[in-house]
Amino acid sequence: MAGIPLSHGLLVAVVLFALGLVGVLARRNLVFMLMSIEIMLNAAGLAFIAGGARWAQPDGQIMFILVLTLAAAEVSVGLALILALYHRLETLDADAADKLKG
Amino acid sequence: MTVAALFFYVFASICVASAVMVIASRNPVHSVLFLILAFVNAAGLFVLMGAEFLAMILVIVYVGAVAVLFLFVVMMLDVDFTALRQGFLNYLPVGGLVGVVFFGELVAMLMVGAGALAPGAAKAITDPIPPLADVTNTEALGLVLYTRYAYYFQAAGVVLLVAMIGAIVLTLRHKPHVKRQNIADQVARTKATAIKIRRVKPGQGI
Amino acid sequence: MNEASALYPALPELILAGGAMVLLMIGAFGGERATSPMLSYAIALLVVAGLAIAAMPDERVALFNGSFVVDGFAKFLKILAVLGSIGTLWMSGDFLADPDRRKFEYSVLILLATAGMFVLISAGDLIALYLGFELMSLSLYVVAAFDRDNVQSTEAGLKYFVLGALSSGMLLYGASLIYGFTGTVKFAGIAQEAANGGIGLIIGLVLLFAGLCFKVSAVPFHMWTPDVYQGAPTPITAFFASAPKVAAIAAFVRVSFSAFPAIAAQWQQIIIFVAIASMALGAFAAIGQRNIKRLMAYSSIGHMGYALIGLAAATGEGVQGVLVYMAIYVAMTLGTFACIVSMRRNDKPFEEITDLSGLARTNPAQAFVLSMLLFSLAGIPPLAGFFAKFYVFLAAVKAGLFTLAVLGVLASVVGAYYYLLIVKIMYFDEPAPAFDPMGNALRSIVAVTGLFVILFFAYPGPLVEAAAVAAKSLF
Repeated sequence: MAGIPLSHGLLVAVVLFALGLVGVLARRNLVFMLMSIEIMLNAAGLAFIAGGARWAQPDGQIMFILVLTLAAAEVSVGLALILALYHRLETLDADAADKLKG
Repeated sequence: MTVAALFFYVFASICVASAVMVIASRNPVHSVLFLILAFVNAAGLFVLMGAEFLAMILVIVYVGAVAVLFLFVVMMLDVDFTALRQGFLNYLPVGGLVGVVFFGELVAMLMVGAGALAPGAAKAITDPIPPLADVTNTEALGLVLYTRYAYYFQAAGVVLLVAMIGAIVLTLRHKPHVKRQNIADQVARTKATAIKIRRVKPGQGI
Repeated sequence: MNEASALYPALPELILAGGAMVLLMIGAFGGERATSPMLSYAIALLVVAGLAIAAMPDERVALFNGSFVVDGFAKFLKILAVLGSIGTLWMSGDFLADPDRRKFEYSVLILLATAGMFVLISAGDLIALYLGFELMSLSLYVVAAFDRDNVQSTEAGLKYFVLGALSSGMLLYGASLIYGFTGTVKFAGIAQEAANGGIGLIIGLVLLFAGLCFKVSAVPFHMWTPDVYQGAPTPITAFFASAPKVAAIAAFVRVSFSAFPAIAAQWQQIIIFVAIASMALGAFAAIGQRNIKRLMAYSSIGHMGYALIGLAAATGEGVQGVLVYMAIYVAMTLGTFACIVSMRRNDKPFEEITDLSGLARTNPAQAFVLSMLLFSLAGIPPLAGFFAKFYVFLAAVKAGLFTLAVLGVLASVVGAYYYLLIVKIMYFDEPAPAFDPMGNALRSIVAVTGLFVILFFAYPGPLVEAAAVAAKSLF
């Protein structure tokens, strides 16, 4: 089978992770921030699977199942928080949430 | 360059391109759709890396549940699309700088250090795990998930419970004027409490 | 040995998780009426779990292929975490009494968060670490936003969530890199591979530490702390400042010593930088704060810096110092926050420092204990806070880190300024209107922590020795 080296798998993960990071830091809309976090978690999962493939263990894939579960849990709590904030402020702009400054 | 390798790079580049669109697009609905595209391509990468079961799970859980949850929220919240772009440009320099620095460091680490640091970094990652001759991928995961990793499995279950409680606590609001069905009250109703017999004299009304 | 008794070391976790589910059932069927008895049930469960921990043997036991480790170190810190959670629930009575907030889920979430801390403290590999973090953090995000009709509370929860999710993403990515380069997530396995690990492993370590720094709110990942402390309801802020910090420091110490002893020289540098930056920020940024909860946030950032000095020493004595520090820190924090919770007039909370002015005349007993707690936070002898700092500085000096110890002393001198300022306001300013009388629960917390802080010097032996035993189990 043709060899795709581990470093290329990790490279894809790095690019995705960096994109997610930029998204969280640059976008001010909370839904976009949450989606960027999803991309970051997916990148970490990809790196786990690539690692598992490189060491020929099923462990990396088990990690991904857990990452997936926890990411779903995180999304549901995040969206619930967003709904609660929207209920109060009628906006999703993170900069409008500025009651706490000192 | 074989077919598998070709597909790897195709999936990888589409995945990255759609991730760019997720963070750059103006409309949250488009963003969610690109997120779905990114995940589907990631699923393709998973298949190439020997994780068929996870590829299917990714499509079912992420695309089927998480992305749709995003769509629900985006549609429910009636976001003002025109106002959304502004902030992006203000924060892009800082965010972009951090991202580029981070990306550069990690790539440098992978490229320069790959040979030296991880003897196996050049090892192929497209062989199926475990070797398909023994068991299928799904079976292999099932064999360890409920035995060696039962602890993780249970702990993840508790995390999901917390997420469920959290979502309910934060969003469930009992509105006082909504009529609700109370089964216990309905069952507890007896003839004595439910009906009243009045003796009405003919021709007089109550 | 049959299967059930093999699970004995995980008994405290099972008590908390199982108990939380039972309470959830009681709450679901009991409705609002169940809220206040629920608080006592939850405290009872925590006490039982604490006793179960205390009854565990000190030897190292590993369960589930080494994912779950119980040893002296875990015992010590779990008991601390339980005490922090009990203290929080103990002071939450008034907060939950308000009809808008009478929700039984509060106790359940605190119990599950504590279970997450246990998983974290006992983590024997990176995945258990991540799971513990998520279990703890998800509960914390929700309780931060618990007062959902209050915009500040929701905002605090959301800020905490976004930055927390970012940090757990970093932690997870670090873990995946470490796995990719070593082929294992077990701390013991990583320790074997780390010796010949290269840059990849170091990058993974840095990302992992970034996630951990966030949870202990150490500089440069501290930005969320003041906002979340200010916005969250006060009993919950007390919770954030106590138990989760203990668990996160535990994870920090355990990862450093059991997974990366081979590259101690590298992580030591990171920790030294983080410790210095946190101490400096804690000392300088707190000056000029007017909200007492914000001030406590900067104070806690500084305290995490001091605790990390012990870790930077990378010796058994250093770990002992960290453990003593955390124990005393939890006591001081709970006492101080109990005083802050009691700052209410006509059932409305007041949070400005000036609201405390002249407290010595309106409530001399509270003013006295609060000033003792503040002196202790400042590290003035012979109070407990002095000994906490003394042990970590001593460990740093013995490990040859003179500069770090000197900077630590300087930072605590600067930091003493703002604590003393509050004491001055309480004793020498014109009295503000008196606060509502303190409830018995708050009074008992203030009394117990005050006595501990004042009398620690007379009898430090048991705590210090217990910490020494606990520290030894890591080496």
